[in-house]
Amino acid sequence: MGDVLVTAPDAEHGYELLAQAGPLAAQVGGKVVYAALGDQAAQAKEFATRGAHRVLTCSDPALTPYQTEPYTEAYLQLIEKVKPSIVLIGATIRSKDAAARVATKLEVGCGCEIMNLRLDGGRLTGERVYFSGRSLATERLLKDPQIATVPARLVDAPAPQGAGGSVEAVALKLTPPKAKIVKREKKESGSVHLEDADIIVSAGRGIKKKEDLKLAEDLAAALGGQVGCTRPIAADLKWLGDAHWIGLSGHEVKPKAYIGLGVSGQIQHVAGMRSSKIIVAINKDEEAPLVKISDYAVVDDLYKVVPALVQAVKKARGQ
Amino acid sequence: MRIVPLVKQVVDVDQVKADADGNIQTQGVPFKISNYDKNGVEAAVRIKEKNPGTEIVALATGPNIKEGVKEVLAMGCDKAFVINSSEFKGSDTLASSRVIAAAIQKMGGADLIIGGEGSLDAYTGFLGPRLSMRLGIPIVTYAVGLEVQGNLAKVRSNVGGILEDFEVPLPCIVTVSEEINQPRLPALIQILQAGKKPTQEWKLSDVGLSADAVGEAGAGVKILKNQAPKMERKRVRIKGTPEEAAEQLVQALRKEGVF
Ligand SMILES: Cc1cc2nc3c(=O)[nH]c(=O)nc-3n(C[C@H](O)[C@H](O)[C@H](O)COP(=O)(O)OP(=O)(O)OC[C@H]3O[C@@H](n4cnc5c(N)ncnc54)[C@H](O)[C@@H]3O)c2cc1C
Ligand SMILES: Nc1ncnc2c1ncn2[C@@H]1O[C@H](COP(=O)(O)O)[C@@H](O)[C@H]1O
Repeated sequence: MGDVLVTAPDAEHGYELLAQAGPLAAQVGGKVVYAALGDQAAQAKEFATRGAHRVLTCSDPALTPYQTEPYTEAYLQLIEKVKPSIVLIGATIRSKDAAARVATKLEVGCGCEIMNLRLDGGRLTGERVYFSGRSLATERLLKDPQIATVPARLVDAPAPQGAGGSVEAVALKLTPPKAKIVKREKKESGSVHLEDADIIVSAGRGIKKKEDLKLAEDLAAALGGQVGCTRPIAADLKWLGDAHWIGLSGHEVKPKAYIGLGVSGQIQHVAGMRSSKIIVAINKDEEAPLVKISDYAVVDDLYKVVPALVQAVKKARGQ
Repeated sequence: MRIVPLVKQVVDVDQVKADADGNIQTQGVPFKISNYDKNGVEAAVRIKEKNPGTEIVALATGPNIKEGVKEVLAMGCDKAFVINSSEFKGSDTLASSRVIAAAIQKMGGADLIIGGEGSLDAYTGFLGPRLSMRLGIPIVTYAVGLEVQGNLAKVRSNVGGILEDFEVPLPCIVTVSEEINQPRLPALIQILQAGKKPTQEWKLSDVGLSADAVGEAGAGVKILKNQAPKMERKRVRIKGTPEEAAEQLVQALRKEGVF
């Protein structure tokens, strides 16, 4: 018995976790407690009406922007206060650090980006990507509290309902972090939401120059879709921002159609797009893994195929 | 200054296969050094080049690690401590962080520990943060830049489109991304010399750990099964000139209801 403590670095992500926490709390006979930290304190009522029986807030300036050390302290103090049997933490590239650190202090396991959360044999259980995407592992948390990090966009956020649970401000004792941020720079505005795109045209290293990205952009525009890319295009070459990056270490997408242009389809990329309804590969190498896992493949030079495809799509759509 | 790159030997995920029931089989699959760990070694070697007197001590684990570690010795590590990972098989990062922390203490500590952003098999990215907690030192993850100036590590980290520059007092831990550097390919002479560099093998008992602190007994997460996701695709090859192929692809996408 015990409560389910939920927290996420982003409010929307937090609502989604509340939807997943509800059934777990009912099964363990506990309450759903949401920790609204930093900026989220102002939205406390929102969490209370979307499934939290109890919302704890703390707007200590040390909690904004996110930093691993103060968040580790905050999570540990909240766990000490709530004594939950389950802790769900919204998984982002950063929050995972604090989750793992908290689990270490408590000498317990930590679920990494767990999907399909459930209680099985009375223990928190779920699936996660393993072997770079070659497999899905079913994992079980063996020790209490059962801590899992959970990705965004697995379920819809619940709509607000009723008066909602209680809200209570808590004081946390936070020490200044040893790792100091001396500069922080946002590389792009977050206007791209690949997860919402019906059609994604994904650019790989088969595209030789930054200017040639126009091929992908034109095709995406003709289809009414968005441009995605592989890790080297975003991270090495920096031709596109991280919001476009698909894969194990990037975004996971499930569009109606994914069209890879010069994408080899290494497993780490496939891990982020394998659930696409239709997969199209345009690649000059018939041995490329993406060709082998595609519904439709054109084995040819993308520089010849894509302009023709743009024309054919425009014609078909009467543009 | 002593830098300790962490090196994990993993099964080559590209050669992992599922059996008829979809269960993943790793038997007989060759091992390799987890991708980003070589970026970590490279980062260490570059720091040494700028900071004479630096010692690079690799801490490596794996089933065949005495052989495997030669690769990073050839890249420029001065010596290595290795632990055969079959001794702690079934460990999650809770248990394996005990092994790594104990080994680092046994070797007399480190000023800078460098790991990969995630390992090729598990890719949790948890080991570094867990180690930072055990050793009580700060950590920066997903580094795309790393320098040491005096007693400070200057780390640039890329997280989801935000670049953060950190200044971190040593000792600390940094986990690196592939984009931080291009790992060097050692020359033949360095490969030959690597065999002569000191490599000490430790047993778990040498670092003061008992069997129940590690493996399945010491783990906080148990893997119940590992199954290949189903991927059933139509695998239609569209042929013809670019114009013909484009036309056919458009027809196919329309039939599929894509637009
Ligand atoms: C732990 C880990 C995590 C990773 N995470 C990710 C991730 O999240 N996302 C990701 O994408 N990658 C990731 N990677 C990297 C991944 O393994 C691959 O290196 C990467 O996806 C390859 O990108 P690419 O397909 O653009 O390039 P390449 O593999 O270089 O492929 C280029 C392709 O273009 C084709 N081509 C070349 N010229 C033409 C032409 N004129 N016309 C048609 N085709 C052409 C080639 O045949 C080739 O197949 C990760 C790797 C590791 C180890
Ligand atoms: N068993 C291990 N031995 C040595 N280094 C490890 C081990 N496990 C993890 N690491 C290091 O930690 C990084 C991240 O691994 P992980 O947290 O498992 O994703 C790896 O890239 C290694 O540098």
